[in-house]
Amino acid sequence: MIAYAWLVPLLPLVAYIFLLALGRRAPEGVVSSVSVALTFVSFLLSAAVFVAVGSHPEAATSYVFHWLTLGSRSLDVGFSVTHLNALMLLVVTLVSTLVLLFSREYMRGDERFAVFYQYLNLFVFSMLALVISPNLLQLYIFWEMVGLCSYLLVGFWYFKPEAAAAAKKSFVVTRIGDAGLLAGIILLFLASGSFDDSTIFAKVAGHSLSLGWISGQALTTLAAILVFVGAIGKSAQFPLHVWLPDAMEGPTPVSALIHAATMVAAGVYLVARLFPLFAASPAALTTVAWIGGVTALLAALIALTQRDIKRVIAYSTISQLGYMMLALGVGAYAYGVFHLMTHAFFKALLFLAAGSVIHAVHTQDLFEMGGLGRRMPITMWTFLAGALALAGVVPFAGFWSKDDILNATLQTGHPVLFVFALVAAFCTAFYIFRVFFLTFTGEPRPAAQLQHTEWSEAGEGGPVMQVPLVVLAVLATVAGFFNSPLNGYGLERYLFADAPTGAGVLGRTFPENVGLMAVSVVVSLLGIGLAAAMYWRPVIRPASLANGLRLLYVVSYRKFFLDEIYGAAVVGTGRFLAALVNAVDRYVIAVIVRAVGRIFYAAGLFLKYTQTGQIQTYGVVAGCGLLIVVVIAIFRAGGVL
Amino acid sequence: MPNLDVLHQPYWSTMGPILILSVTAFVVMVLEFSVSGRGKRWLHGVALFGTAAALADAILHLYAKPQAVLATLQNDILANLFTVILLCTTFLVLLFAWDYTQRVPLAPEHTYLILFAVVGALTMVSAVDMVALYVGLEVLSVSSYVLAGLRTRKLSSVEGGIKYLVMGGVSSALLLYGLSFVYGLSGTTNLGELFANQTFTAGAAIFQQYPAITALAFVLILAGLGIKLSLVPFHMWTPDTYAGAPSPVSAMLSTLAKTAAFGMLLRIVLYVFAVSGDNLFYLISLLAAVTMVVGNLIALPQQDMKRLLAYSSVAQAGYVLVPFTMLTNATVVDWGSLVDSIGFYLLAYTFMTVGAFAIVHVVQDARGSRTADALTGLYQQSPWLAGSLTVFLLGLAGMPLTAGFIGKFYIFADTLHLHHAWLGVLLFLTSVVSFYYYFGLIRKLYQPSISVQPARVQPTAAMSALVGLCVLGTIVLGIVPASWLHVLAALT
Repeated sequence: MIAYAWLVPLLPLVAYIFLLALGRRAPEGVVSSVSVALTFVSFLLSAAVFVAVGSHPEAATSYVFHWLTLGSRSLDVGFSVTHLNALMLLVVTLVSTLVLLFSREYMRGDERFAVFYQYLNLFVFSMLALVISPNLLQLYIFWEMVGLCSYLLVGFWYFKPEAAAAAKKSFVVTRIGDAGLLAGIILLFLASGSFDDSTIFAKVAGHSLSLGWISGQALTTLAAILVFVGAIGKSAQFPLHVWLPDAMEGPTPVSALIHAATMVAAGVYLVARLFPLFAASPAALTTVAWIGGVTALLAALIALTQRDIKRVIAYSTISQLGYMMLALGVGAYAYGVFHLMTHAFFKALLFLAAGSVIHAVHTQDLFEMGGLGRRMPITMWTFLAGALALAGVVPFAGFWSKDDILNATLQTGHPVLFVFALVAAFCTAFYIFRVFFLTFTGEPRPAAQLQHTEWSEAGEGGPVMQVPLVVLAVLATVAGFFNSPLNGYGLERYLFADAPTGAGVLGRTFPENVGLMAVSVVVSLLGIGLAAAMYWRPVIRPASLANGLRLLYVVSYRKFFLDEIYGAAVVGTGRFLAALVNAVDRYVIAVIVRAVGRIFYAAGLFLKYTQTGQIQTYGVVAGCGLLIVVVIAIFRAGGVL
Repeated sequence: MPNLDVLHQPYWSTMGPILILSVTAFVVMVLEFSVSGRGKRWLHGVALFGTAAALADAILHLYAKPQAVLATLQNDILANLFTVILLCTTFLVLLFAWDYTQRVPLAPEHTYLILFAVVGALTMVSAVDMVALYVGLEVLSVSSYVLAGLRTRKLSSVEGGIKYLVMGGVSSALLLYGLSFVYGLSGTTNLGELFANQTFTAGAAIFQQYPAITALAFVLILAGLGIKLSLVPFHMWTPDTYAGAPSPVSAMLSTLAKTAAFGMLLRIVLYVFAVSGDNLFYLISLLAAVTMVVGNLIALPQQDMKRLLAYSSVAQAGYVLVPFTMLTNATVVDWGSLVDSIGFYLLAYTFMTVGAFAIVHVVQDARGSRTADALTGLYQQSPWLAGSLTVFLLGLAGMPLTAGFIGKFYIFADTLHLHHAWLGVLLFLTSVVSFYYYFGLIRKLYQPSISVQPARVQPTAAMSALVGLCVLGTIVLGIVPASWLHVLAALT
């Protein structure tokens, strides 16, 4: 079975090519059915691969074939199945299938419905291919391709200026990270002579990674940090997180699939996949942990005050990705991956539920919603499941994974980061229930009734939208048990099988801490309670609290002014440089280029006019040419030239 | 009792493709004058079948033990490699000719003339005797002269044919003159013997004793084949002949004839001059450089697409010539990689060039013009044809993911590796110049046609097959170069 894992990414590619051949005018039913069916088969195959890897760990290996020879080095392509990859395949195909199904109704009637599905299929293919790439070069190619798909999909409604700007921003900001990743990959290649993970790990383990100008340990740290820069960009970690909230301009299914469950998790996946490299450098691990912890807290604080339902969830995504990085940074490999999985489920759920709401009321402003619970019970209950999972209430999925991370952070001796994570957990519970109460409870806000005539018709989407919500809600409820003491930490054992010796760098475990579990639940409940007191049964008036903490409120609402700071620092500098380059370009380069072009063209014209059409001319030219060559040859043979 | 030993001789693995194609050519010839009317439609089918059989035979004996027949024909790696390329080319050209006859009346004799030309070409790449080489060249050339002027009612076709005939005559004369010097110096027409003499005995001394004669022989041979390869300054007949000749013949002249001439040049250079004439190879780099520069520059202002492709083929021949330069200071291992580069580029070039000529022809046929403007709006009308032409042009320009890129990349890598970086840089720079005219055509393809709705472009089944094969070849060689390199590497 494992030898057929290449079929998993292939099927979405087939779907993409098929849709491409059908063209833009293809009927919606055909387009979405084909996509969902093929992705679903991919999911079944992934499940089979997942099981096969679990039962035959020895068969989990790379299948590569030779592609190119460059001098003495050869480049291979192929695919590689590890326990981590198998898990990722499963998660990605599952969420993709559900999102593709959901989009069928969400995007109904869109003029470019078929194009939307083309892009989504291309994305699913690229993401799956990224996951099973056997070497870093191939991974990088697909890493860029998922970025491209994200760009296309964020800017899908390109006629909206915000969408076009957001697409550009997301592409440019992630490119900064990608440059780091590419530099890291090249550095590793130079130092180890291979793009292959296992070769690199072997060299890292054997301390034989070396280059002339840098010591082995510093090299490991540098390479790991450069790779991590790529992960920062893709996974929207501080300070490159600014693109993700803007990316919410894309259609909501895109946010659910790409900007919550899969592509943004690719950064975490990358760090997890190269964990042996990171583990060899304490400095790199510390960096990962701190970036993750700071991001988790910062994004949670910003999410407290946002008015746009999708932006709150977007900041929540950033914050949760921060948790994953934190877990990896403190050495809890399995917990980071575990949180990646649970987060994929409950965050996709939250986005799709939010999409269902937006689909019904055509606004994203929380303060224009309210009282939707009665009209949309399924959406409300599923959203609640997702919110409880995110807040980390026992026994929902997020509780298990988040508690594991808190536990690991504390036990590895990072008290400051532990406090960060705990505060962030409190904020998380508060902001997600703020969204919940504002959206589903109370009465519709007056502004909403005035603005939206269709408000009275707001209601659930059809079964096509409900099925994905329910499936994800079930997963958000139970997925935590995959790695709980109740099943003896099954996922951990599954993932540890990647390290054959059992322990190694991957296999670090942390004894459970019941007291901490209680603390984390209490913190979550406190957050929920505060939200309820403010937005459900208004004991505390939100406005007075905001006024009381004016400064803090503004800082949070304005996202710590980071966009403005970047605007001034990066964009300002950029503008200046651009103006400079533009001047040089326009008055120096352009003149030269035009002159060069003219000269070549004139030379071409001259040569063209020598072409008289008279064979006598041709003979003379050939004869003269021959004569010149003969003269050169003879003189040279005679030693004159 | 007749002597049946002939059946046990190694002739079949050595001469198989040549024999199969000769027989096919005669069968087609007889069929051509014995059937009439609609029956003639099947001539191409027979020819294609024969070519496929020859190709199959060549592939079956690809790794056969090298053997010589009568010390004249030999199935060594060079012969096998070029035979496969030539037969692939023949297959494409015949498909093209088939499509062509469904649009334009063309004397049916062209079918067997093409086959005879191929027999000549095959001889050129497998002969190890100067006389046999020359005979092969003449068989190819005489057939080509007739083919180029086959549209007797079209003045440009006849004119192109005559020009080719005159220049071809000059070419033969120069080549023969050069070969006669070699014979005079060495006393043998057999290249194998000549090579052995130089390597193992004092035969090399004679070449060094008469450096001027050696140089003269080298220059004359180079110029003689240079006319066939349309190297600058021997290229001027090329656009006139290509523009006048029926399109399949233009495609054949720019691919099949050149591949054969390159094969022959490689053979002569390796056997005669690589050992003791190594101080002469700078002349090849000179010609390569001039050809790349002039070919690309003169293509810039061209409006007529067939002339543009003609000049592009001049420039492309310059690229292929680059690895020849380095045969001299290469070790035996590097020879293998140089021959790989040449073989790879020639196959890639064949796919892209035949495909481009084919689509240009279809467009010309439908729209009555072959200026670049005739391409306008092709994308809206038939996206597949426009997309395919884009692939071919990008390939010729050398964009990544096409065969052209890998081909140029390998040649470039060779120049770096073997200390001829300046040629590599020149190759790169002239490629950049070529982007201008290739992209000019591509831009036209995607420009919406303004006022009038241009005539609809309809490819036939043969044309679709041809374009499909060429696109497949261009892309597969570009993405999985190992598929063909593997064969090359196993050979060399």
